[in-house]
Amino acid sequence: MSEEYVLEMHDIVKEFPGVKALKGVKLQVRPGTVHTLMGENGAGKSTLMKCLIGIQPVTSGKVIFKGQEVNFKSTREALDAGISMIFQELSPVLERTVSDNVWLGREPKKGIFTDHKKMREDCLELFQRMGLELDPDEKMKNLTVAKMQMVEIIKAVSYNASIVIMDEPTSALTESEVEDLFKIIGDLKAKGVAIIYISHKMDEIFRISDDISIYRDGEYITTERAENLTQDEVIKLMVGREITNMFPKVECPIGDVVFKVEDLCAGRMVRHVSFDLRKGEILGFAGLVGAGRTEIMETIFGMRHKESGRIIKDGKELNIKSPKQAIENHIGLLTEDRRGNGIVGLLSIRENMCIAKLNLGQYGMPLNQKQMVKDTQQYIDSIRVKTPTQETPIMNLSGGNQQKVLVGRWLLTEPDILIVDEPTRGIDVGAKAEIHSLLSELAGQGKSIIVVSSELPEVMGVADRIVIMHEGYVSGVLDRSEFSQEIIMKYATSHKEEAAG
Amino acid sequence: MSANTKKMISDNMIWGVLVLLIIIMSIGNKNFLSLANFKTLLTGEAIKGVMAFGVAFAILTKGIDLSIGASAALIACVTGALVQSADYSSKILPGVGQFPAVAAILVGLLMGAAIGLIQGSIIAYTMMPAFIATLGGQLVCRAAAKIFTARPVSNLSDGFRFLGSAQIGPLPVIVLVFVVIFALAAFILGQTRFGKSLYAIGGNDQAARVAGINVQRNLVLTYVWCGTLAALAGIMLAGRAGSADPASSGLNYELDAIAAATVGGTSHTGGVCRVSGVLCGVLIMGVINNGLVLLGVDDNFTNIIKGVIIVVTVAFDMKKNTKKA
Amino acid sequence: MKKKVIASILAGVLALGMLTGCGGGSASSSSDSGASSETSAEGTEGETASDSEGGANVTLIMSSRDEFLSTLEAGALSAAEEAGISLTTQDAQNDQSKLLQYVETAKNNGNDAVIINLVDADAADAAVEAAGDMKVVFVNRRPSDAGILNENVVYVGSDEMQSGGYQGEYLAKYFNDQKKTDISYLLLKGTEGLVHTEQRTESVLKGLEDGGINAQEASAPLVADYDRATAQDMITPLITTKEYDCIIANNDAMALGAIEALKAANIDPSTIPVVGIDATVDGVQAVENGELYMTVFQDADGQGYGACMAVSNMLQGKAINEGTDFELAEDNEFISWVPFEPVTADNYTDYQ
Repeated sequence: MSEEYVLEMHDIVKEFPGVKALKGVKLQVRPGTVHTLMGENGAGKSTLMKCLIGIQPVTSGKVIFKGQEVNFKSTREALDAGISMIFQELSPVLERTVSDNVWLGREPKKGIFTDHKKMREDCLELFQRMGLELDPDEKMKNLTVAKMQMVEIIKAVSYNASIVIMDEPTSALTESEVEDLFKIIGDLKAKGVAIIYISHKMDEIFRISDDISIYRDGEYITTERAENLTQDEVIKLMVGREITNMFPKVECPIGDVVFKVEDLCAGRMVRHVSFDLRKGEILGFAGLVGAGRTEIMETIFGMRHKESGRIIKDGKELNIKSPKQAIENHIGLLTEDRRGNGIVGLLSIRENMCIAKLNLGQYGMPLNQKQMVKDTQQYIDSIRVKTPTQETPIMNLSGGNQQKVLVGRWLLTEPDILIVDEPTRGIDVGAKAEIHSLLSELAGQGKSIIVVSSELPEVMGVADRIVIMHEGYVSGVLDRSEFSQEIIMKYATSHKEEAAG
Repeated sequence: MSANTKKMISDNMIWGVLVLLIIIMSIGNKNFLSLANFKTLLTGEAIKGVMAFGVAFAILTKGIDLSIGASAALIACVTGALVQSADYSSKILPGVGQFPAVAAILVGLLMGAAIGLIQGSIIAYTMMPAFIATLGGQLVCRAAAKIFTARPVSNLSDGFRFLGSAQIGPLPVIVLVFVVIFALAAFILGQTRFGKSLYAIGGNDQAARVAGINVQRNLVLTYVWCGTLAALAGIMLAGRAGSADPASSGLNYELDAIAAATVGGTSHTGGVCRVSGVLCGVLIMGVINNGLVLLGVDDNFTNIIKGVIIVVTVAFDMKKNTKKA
Repeated sequence: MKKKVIASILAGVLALGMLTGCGGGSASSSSDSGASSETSAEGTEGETASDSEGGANVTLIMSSRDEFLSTLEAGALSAAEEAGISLTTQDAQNDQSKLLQYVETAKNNGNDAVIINLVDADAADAAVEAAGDMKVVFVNRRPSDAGILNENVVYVGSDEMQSGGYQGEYLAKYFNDQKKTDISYLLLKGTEGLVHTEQRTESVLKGLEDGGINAQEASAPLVADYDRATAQDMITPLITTKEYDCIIANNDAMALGAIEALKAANIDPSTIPVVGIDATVDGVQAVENGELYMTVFQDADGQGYGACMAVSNMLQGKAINEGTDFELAEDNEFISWVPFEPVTADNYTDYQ
């Protein structure tokens, strides 16, 4: 009877000190299918997978793999049995070659020596099977993130796994790379390999999923065939309520031009970029990954060296050489890499929120602790940060709440211009909608906002105008009335002249 | 609530260890708990304690300062030479008259700050690991001290020795200096922009930069602070011993200071430092040093116990922090 | 999980504490009785002082723990046993501040006296100050200011002018036998700034001169800090490039370093006179092997013995050299000299 499933997990309970992360959860995976796990951040998807492959011990519950009850104590055991996982955060050994990485920890031996020739050859064979063009001798650090991801997948496949778990595998991939990935997934399926897929991207999920299991707050909600579900139903099941509008845009009056970038150049990724921004406007930046959007924002914010061009705010040319000067000129930047250069994980919510204002010297010396508490509470309340206390270390919050704290950080510096780069990356649906409405609200208060996003529905949903980038150049600017996915993609994949022609 | 209580317990567990050690020591020897012995204990740890408050700042920023023992020796020798009495036959600087104590101390502190400035600039602007930069600094300072004088520098003026050996009422000045530096360090870390910036830099330097913090300048300042305190420690050392020896003064003091800061919960992965914890770390080291002498324990065995305690506390600290991440 | 960790740490600390408690048990319990008998002794001075003889508590604080000082410690321990003194030893690790710390701790612990091997001969006054009412015996390293010595503060050691003198006398005879009067030498000096370094150097040169030898140093001054490896490294490039008739070292460790260097350069050490001081175990062995021509026995055991006897004598109000073979200095009754003795191929068996 259980032959129908390659993997079954029943009544899985996982307790952390003080928290019940999984409250008797179920998962049944059929061989040769893509089984997607869905749920808001904190719903327990990742924890469930970590329990499965032995990173964390389960408190109680039963795992049946290929008809046998198993209890993996380490990822090594899980790998040997045939379950491999590709993590959201890659951890390649950057200084070694591709083939070294693929065979890491299980290098074929010839006597006591590593058999490098065999490693290369086996690697090439795998690449061919997957239709990948890669040099096994290339150093890992020279690859793009997407290629590294491919290597990770190759590595997972090379274990002859019968289950491959992918946690948000497309978050760093371009459209075309996503296509390649889906092709590989198709091949794996055809070979009878089951894929457990974790993602927040609805369109992807509906394209590739066979089954969808939904979790909420550590509880199992349901498992359905993908074709029996709609996007709205999934969202409703995930958040336990209906989100009527993912992009609650508030129309508000747009004023004069307050900020202008003219002919900005900074390295290969920022070439002669010009645009302007009006008071109360939300300006979207679209383009493929690597089109130079983030680089423009970092140049404006003083994180990158500006080669030439002018940045003008309120009619005055600015000469910004450091983030500090940008902040002093009332510009804020919410970076795309929240963990890398956004939050300071060990520090409390209060410290994270107040740090930019503090650094402007606005809390005096000795620091006005009372004012800091007051400021923090103001934004915890007004932008609805869910946290037990102000002293809670920020790393204990969910991604969405961390992002809200960072928004609060910038609002405390009273910016006229707020730049947000991928503001909803890795954030669950509910929090996404809240961030969108927050941006809209801020624009309504007369702030000017730049939104960089790789998710087209997002930019189209929140922006008043969209600037489209291609390989460092601005390839097009669209007004809200002109928005369409097709036109944006056309500009994003070609130079201005070609697109116009 | 219960999570908060847990955090409070784990943050303050170190004080429990201190109390436990005190109990063990006072059971072992009744003289341990005397006021006189407490004074001796504090006097003995004050110098390394001052250094610990310096190096804790560097550790907080994921750095380290290995030069403090050697720079303390260099500054002890130089300032000592400035205050040798004019009629002393083997004066190191025969041509130079006797400086007033305050002037010599000022020269010493400035030298310490300058050493910190150089090291800090190298670390901040070349992104060289602090371990390497300050290891170099250690060799240079120690050698400079030996070049400056081959002989120990003694016959120091009483004014100069005030910080190291004088008493105000029942209170040794050296302990007073230690307490003042403790308060100053607590104020800087808790109540100033500089202090808060260090936590952010140690926790995530990229994020700190984006938040508008001038990471480089703050790192330089960190090592200036550290160097200045090393200088102060050197002056205290010369004052207490009544002499400064270029070869052996301050030898390995940096390791004891680092150990105290580490036992006090300062994390070498950056971003975590409590001044009260460092104080506790210094006291724990003091209780071990002093208590085991009273128990008549062989000093090699003392070092084994110290080593074990350092490793165990850091292991615990690592476990605590990785669990959170 | 966390509870387990905490518990195991506490258990570990406790266990360590118990261990040390047991290890020091005998010392600490006797220290208690010592402290109480001391109070009774203080009450009535002079005649009852002999009562305290059995229970005096003394700490020996050494500048560092090397072979010589360990021998000194053994001598002190044997005297302590004889005189019924309870003696504990501490190593100041060449740190004057640590040394003061130990002195103060001994005072807090109710000790009757401290025996101090100074780190810095110039900084004896601070140690005396820290000692308070305790008797102080400086051993081996002589305070540079003799003015601090009195009936409560004495010195037991050897006259360093004697040690180099024996080296000079020996070499003078060696070269006179060869009818040589003009020679050149390599000299490995100990740590500069130490009184005995200067005295050993000065006295060996004086000894050569008194023996009618005109000696020239063959190289720039070599300061090897009494360290064997340093000496070896320092002298290696010189032994094949310089003209010299003998190698003089301020101690055996450096002399042995020089012998190692000679061997490494394929020079038979028995063809070059190398002389040292201290007569350490290795030094005497080298004399037996014919590699080291001579060394001077500094009686570490005797110094330790003498220092501890001095404590006992002081506590009983006697002359500090009473019950020993050692002589008081001619001009100062608070100095007891422990004599040096030359060790050569003729008499090395006495020092094995």
